Amino acid sequence: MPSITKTKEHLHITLPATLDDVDRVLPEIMHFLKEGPVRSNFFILNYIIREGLNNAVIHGSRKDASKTVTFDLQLSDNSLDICIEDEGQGFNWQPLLKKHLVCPKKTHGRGIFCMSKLHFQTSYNDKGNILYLHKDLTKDHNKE
Amino acid sequence: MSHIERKDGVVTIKPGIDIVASKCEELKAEFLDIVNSGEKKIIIDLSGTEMIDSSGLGLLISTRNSLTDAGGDEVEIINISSDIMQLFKVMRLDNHFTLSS
Repeated sequence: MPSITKTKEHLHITLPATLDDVDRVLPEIMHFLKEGPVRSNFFILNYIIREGLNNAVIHGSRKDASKTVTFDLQLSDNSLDICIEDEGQGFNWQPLLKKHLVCPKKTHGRGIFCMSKLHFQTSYNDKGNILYLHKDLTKDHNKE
Repeated sequence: MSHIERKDGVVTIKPGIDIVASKCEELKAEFLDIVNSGEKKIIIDLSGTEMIDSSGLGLLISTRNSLTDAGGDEVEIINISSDIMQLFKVMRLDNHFTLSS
């Protein structure tokens, strides 16, 4: 089962690497965000965070429930920072971040693509098993 | 399990749930069954669907690809929420399905 600790500005979750656990923790994350100062489009936030967690579970952890995914969210008045770490081997992420278009017939490859399209600053550690997402809330493109 | 209705040569599939990675395996089997049964026109009704992720978008694209490969028509998607409609536009998929809110 996921483990959740939080303060007013920080949310820390560890979850088993399963898609059902992604579904379990997302309402907690959205509840935390809605209680805070963020006035973004919560659908987009939900979508981006789900993509990050899905990638950590599917690609990073191969859906191995014995592995753990760690999620951290730090809130300030001006920005939102998210870190998602998996126990996998990492991947060659640089080419994916440079992608500007996904062929409409392709059924995969939109997870990382969408993050920059939806105005999140996206980066990884060198190994590729820690995703960093940053959003400047003063330049929010997705306000409702 | 999706609600499936057949009428006048058109099959309407209403999942009634979020189309996200955790549900895609089950939904894919349902959608492919319908494509493989020789249906030519498929409508996917998204009333009751509040969230789609990239796996869900992949499922819709895969259904469209399979249907057109089998000589069928385009997939029509109806009752789309404004948020999901916006997602189709951002992902530049709005020209590849017949969409209505």
